[in-house]
Amino acid sequence: MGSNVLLEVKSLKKYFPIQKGFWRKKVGEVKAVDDISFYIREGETLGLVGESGSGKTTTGRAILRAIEPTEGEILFNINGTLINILQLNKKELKQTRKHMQMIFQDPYSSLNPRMTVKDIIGEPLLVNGVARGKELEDRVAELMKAVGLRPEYMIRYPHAFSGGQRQRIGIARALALNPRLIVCDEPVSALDVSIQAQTLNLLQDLQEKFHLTYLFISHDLGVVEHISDRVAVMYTGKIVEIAETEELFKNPKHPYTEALLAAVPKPDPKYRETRKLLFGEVADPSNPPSGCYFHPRCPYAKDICKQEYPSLINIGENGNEHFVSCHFADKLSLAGIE
Amino acid sequence: MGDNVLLEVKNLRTYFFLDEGVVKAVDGVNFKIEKGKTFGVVGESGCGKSITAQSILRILPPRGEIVEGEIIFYRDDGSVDLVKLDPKGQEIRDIRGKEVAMVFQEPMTALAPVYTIGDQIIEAILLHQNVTKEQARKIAIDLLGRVGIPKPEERVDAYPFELSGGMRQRAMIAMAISSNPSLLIADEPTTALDVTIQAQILDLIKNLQKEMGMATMLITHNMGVIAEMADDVAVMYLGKIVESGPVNEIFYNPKHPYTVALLKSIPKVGKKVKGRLESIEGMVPDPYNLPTGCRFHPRCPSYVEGTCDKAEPPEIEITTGHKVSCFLYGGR
Ligand SMILES: Nc1ncnc2c1ncn2[C@@H]1O[C@H](COP(=O)(O)OP(=O)(O)OP(=O)(O)O)[C@@H](O)[C@H]1O
Ligand SMILES: Nc1ncnc2c1ncn2[C@@H]1O[C@H](COP(=O)(O)OP(=O)(O)OP(=O)(O)O)[C@@H](O)[C@H]1O
Ligand code: SF4
Ligand SMILES: [Mg+2]
Ligand SMILES: [Mg+2]
Repeated sequence: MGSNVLLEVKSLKKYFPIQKGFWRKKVGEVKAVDDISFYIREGETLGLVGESGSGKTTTGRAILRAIEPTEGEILFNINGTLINILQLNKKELKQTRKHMQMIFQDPYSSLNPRMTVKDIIGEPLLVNGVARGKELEDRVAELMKAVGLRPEYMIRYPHAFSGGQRQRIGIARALALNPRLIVCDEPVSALDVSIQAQTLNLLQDLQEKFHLTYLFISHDLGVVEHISDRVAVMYTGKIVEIAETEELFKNPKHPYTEALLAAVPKPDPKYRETRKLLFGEVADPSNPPSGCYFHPRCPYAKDICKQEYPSLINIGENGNEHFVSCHFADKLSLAGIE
Repeated sequence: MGDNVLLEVKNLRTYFFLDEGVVKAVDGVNFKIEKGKTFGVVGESGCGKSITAQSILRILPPRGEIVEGEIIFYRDDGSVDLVKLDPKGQEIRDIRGKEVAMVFQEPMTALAPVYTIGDQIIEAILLHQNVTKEQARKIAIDLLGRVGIPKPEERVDAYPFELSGGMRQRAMIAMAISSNPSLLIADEPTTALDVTIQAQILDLIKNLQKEMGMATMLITHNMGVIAEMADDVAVMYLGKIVESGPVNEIFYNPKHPYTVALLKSIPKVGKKVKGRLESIEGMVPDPYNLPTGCRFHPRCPSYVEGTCDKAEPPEIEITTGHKVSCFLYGGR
């Protein structure tokens, strides 16, 4: 790990209790995030992909401590000092949180319908005592311009904006306190294709302009490939593969990544009928299979896969990192894209 | 052509009459669906895909009305204009669910939560086929097996909430195909599903279609799904079909500036664009206040002032079956 690492996550776990009956007795656990480790470099975009319920949102929220992780370390680099987010008290957390923000999937429900755009974008500034009055208004206008909204619309309510515009309001709010890291949770999934491209371009422009670091969560592999420098693939609460974007797409090393890449319908009729289908269903994080969680669906599984969980190891060559959690990571020859 | 056409929609206009104004949800749409073929309809949210489908089945929401047009359904023994039927009458009810079946994006809204999936499929079978209850149950189990539900003899007694999203969608498809329909209308059948499950369902629809010779009208906003499935494609924008034709024409020889822009703006797996994506500028206009002339003109990079904003471009056939409504290709 180099010195320009902004965030390092070590052995992060988040288990949700499953409760039953009147006494809410704990009868089990959903291992939503189950011992994952990764880092993000300053200024880079790490893509996080995986199917529904694989633990992407939980990971994002745990990093910001929007939910309390069960275990692990979250190290955040503030001007050369590593701070473990999980050991901060309330006051310290509030200070540190300024540096980390989140953008949500649903631009409809994540904005308070009774607040004007000015109040929504200005709230973090007011709450943290950064600006008020005329200064606040100027800063909100500046933020609105940065995301391509007209400052004249400051006194309007969210319902008067389109989906893409509401997402821009959410982005402006996230930018208000000059954060270093933004967790983008499916920021374009609810948007129309033509608006998606605009929003992705905006996120890229802002990253350059404000030197932002993104954890970019999405289940759309096309979007993730476009925006990410590196990509992590999750399956049932575990990270099964992390590599540079191009490497991961061209040269996947985990059978699940291969299957995921094959399953995406490509917007080009020449790929018809070339797909390999993955059978079976996504594993249940409250009752994961034995051994490698992917083994019941894996076309390459052998006996050992049913017995032992394969640890995440680096099989990259020439000093490149390519982490994979598969017993046969360095033996299988898997198909990527093109 | 005539012989192979199963459904022909002519100049269909479906409007909503609301207090705020009139929404021209479908505004002069023409297309033909051929027997056994997959007709893909693609377009952004609100462009009128679902309302087109609901017009065919005559299940429009309140205040929605077909104000003009014909929907001719061809059978071996003649044809019928669905627009002329009483939406609550026996004739359309016989067609619906039997000759034309539908699957929706969210099967939970179509499956009743308090009945087992078996009960619901059996009821659908009894409605359209002359069999006993026991025979219907056998057929239901067989159908569940055919759509890939493991242990169908057990799952037939499961309630919808006991199944995963993918399994529910399979159950819904089983119900839809129970009467051997000649047309299946699938409105975003995989949008709510994970990619690996989506691939399974698309594959299932494809196989059933081959087996049963059924035509499919596949509605989606996903160009990838269209490329994977469709024989013919219609691209909709604000209540109109702006371009239509064989799938290869649409993907390899797109003509309408909207289709061209749409195809360029999708980040494609394996084709990483360095830097910015080409995007369509501007926003989807307000449905109460549609632009004059060509509805795409305010966002169109090739817009010709004085022409595109003045009149609606006529539909022009460029090559056989490939039609486009844009002044760049004539009609000025
Ligand atoms: N507050 C909670 N209480 C109990 N279980 C939860 C809670 N939040 C999430 N889970 C469970 O944790 C698992 C991971 O959920 P998470 O929302 O992180 O998935 P995700 O990868 O973001 O999925 P999606 O793509 O659907 O957004 C799921 O099984 C989910 O049901
Ligand atoms: N029940 C309704 N009342 C009033 N207007 C409606 C109603 N249903 C649809 N509309 C309007 O009709 C137009 C077409 O809607 P439709 O549902 O067909 O869009 P769609 O292409 O299926 O979009 P999506 O991809 O979001 O499903 C939209 O402008 C919509 O607002
Ligand atoms: S460890 Fe085994 S089951 Fe898991 S992905 Fe690798 S080969 Fe497949
Ligand atoms: Mg999520
Ligand atoms: Mg729809």
